[in-house]
Amino acid sequence: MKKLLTLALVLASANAFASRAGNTALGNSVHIADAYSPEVIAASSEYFSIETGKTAVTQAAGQNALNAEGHLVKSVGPGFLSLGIGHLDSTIFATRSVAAAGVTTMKPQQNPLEISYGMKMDNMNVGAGLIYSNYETKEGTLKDKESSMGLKLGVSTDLFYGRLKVIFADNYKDSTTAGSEVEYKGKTAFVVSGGMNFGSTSVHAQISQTGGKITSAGTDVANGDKTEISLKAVETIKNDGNDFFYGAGLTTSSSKETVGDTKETTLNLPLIIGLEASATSWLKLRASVTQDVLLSNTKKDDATTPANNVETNPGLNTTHFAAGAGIAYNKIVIDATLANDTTTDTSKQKINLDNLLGTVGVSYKF
Amino acid sequence: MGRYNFIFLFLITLLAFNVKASRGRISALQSIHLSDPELIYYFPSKQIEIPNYLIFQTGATESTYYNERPYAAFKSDFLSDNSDFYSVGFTMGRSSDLIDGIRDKVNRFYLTQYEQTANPVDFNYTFKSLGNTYSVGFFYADKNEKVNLVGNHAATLNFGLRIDDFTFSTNAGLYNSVVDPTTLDRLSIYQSFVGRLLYELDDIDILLDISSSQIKLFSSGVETSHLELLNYKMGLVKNEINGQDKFFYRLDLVTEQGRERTLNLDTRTISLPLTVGIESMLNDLFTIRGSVKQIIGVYKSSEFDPGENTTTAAVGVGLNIHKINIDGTFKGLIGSSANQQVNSNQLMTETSLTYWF
Repeated sequence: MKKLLTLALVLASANAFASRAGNTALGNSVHIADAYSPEVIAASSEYFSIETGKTAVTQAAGQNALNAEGHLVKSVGPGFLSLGIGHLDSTIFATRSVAAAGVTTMKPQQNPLEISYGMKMDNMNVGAGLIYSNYETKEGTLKDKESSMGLKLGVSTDLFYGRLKVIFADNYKDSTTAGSEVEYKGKTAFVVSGGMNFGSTSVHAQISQTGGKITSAGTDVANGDKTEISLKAVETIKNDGNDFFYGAGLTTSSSKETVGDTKETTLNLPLIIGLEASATSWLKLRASVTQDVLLSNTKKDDATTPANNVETNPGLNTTHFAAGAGIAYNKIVIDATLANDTTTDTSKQKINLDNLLGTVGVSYKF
Repeated sequence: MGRYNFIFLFLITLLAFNVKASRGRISALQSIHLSDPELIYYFPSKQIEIPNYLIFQTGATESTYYNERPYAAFKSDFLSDNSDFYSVGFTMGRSSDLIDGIRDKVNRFYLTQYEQTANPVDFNYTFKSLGNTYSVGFFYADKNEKVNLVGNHAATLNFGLRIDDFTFSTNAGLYNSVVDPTTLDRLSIYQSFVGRLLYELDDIDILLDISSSQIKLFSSGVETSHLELLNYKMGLVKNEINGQDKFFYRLDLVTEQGRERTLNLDTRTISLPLTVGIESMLNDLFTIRGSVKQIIGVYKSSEFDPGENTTTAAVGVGLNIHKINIDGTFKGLIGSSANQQVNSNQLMTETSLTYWF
């Protein structure tokens, strides 16, 4: 399938306090700024945020929302220094999640660090950041190691923003059994994104190129590449401290795996509707619904095992609801989701004392 | 032996990182350096700097894990005729870091089930003279089942000293032995010692901590295991006071050495944990606390270099009503297995009530 380059662009807002719960409740809309982007840090203020969660999470889709992490932004010199501890990079996590099918002991980044610095230069916010993690166990029932390293650059003005992320090291190796080592090596990954602001309408585009190679006892067992392109537009309506937004986008991906000779393409047209309302001076309520409309196509060709071929046009239901609350008092903000995880469990449509707050995070603004 | 080596190292490191040396407030902050009644058990001479209090700490009476039992503590100052003053502190039920902390380590390493101390009491006497503060105290716990000769005995002597900005403390174990009622095997811990130094320089605290223990296990009177532990810790804490809010970052250098003589096993772990924490008053009624801790940079041993993920977050809350504080941590938001939830099933834990005189 040809790559599509139709334009629908989304702009990230200047909300530098985009906690995990806040983002989740607002459907991870692209108009919400990524707090870890260097140019967002340049335009932010001093704060410290805590995302509660587990110390050890598995390398599976969605698990990177369950880990504990902290983010500190402090004024240093003319700009801001950001220190992220425990934060799992989304690009690395997504690529390893795909590779985990071939490397069953795959681990996410261990003790990850993200250090960024951003500052204002004339009318522009600029910033750069480093991503790093390293781990190795030499003895025990599982001998393995992982490492990652990446670079982030960002620039923004009132009208536009641009980001570049390069992951130039992403490795995992299981060497428990001598002579039968299983190794994953991520290919250099690029994520380029940008956006523009047209009044209440914002546009965003992102192109990413990722891939990885898996070897077992020195023999290639998988070699894959993936290209993703997304173009989105969001309209934001502000009214008395309330933000209502809706948006549409076009996302497409193309991936191929050369050892098993498989190809997969997707084409989706996601819609999002969301609201962040100020119920009181100290309470914000958030809700969103996302769904693919008209286009929700997936095609997978497996030349080796044709029985694995898949083609849906359109595909399964994708309607997803999320809600959350933010309590802001003095300098503390506590964000949480409500009626946590409504993906499959119908009993989770309730809000009661047993199902109250989830994905809780705490932020302190200096 | 390789398997034991790994398990030994893993547990020593795990315990050092998860030492629940305190409750409620300290657990939410994951650092013991702020002025708090819990700090007295590490620097007894600090007792005189803290207002008089009565604390009730919740816990499980028969918990087999270190520092999860309930306790009550009382502290009061007295002003003497010559304007020096002294204070007395009494605690009942609280586990001893030197006694029970080591027993917990032994249980996790050897997979034994030696009991924690029974009905412990802790007494601390502090007095101030000529600008310096001195403290002396003891910890004592005893249990004796006479039919099967199952004993559980422990005692320590504790000393503290404060001169200007330097605060010293030392705990010396007098005896520490316990018999497993099921197997009748005996654990003896001797030559146990911990020494601490705190230097307070404006908004920076420098902490030093050295501890050592000799541990022996006996079965039918015959020595079966011999373990030596030696730990060093150096910490640097930068505090920022913003009105009534406290923010800190703390960096420690921790070295843990163990020698298992029976298995001929030497292990050594070096780590550099970073802790960032905040305590903020929402209003006169509520205080929110939180922290994140992770080992950064250095985390090595003979088995790993660096080790697995260690990021832990913790959030707690304090309720302040007149002279009463109710402190606790959010059950779903603390620890390595936090599920991120706050609801009626995941509400408060490690809760304590403090009354300030």
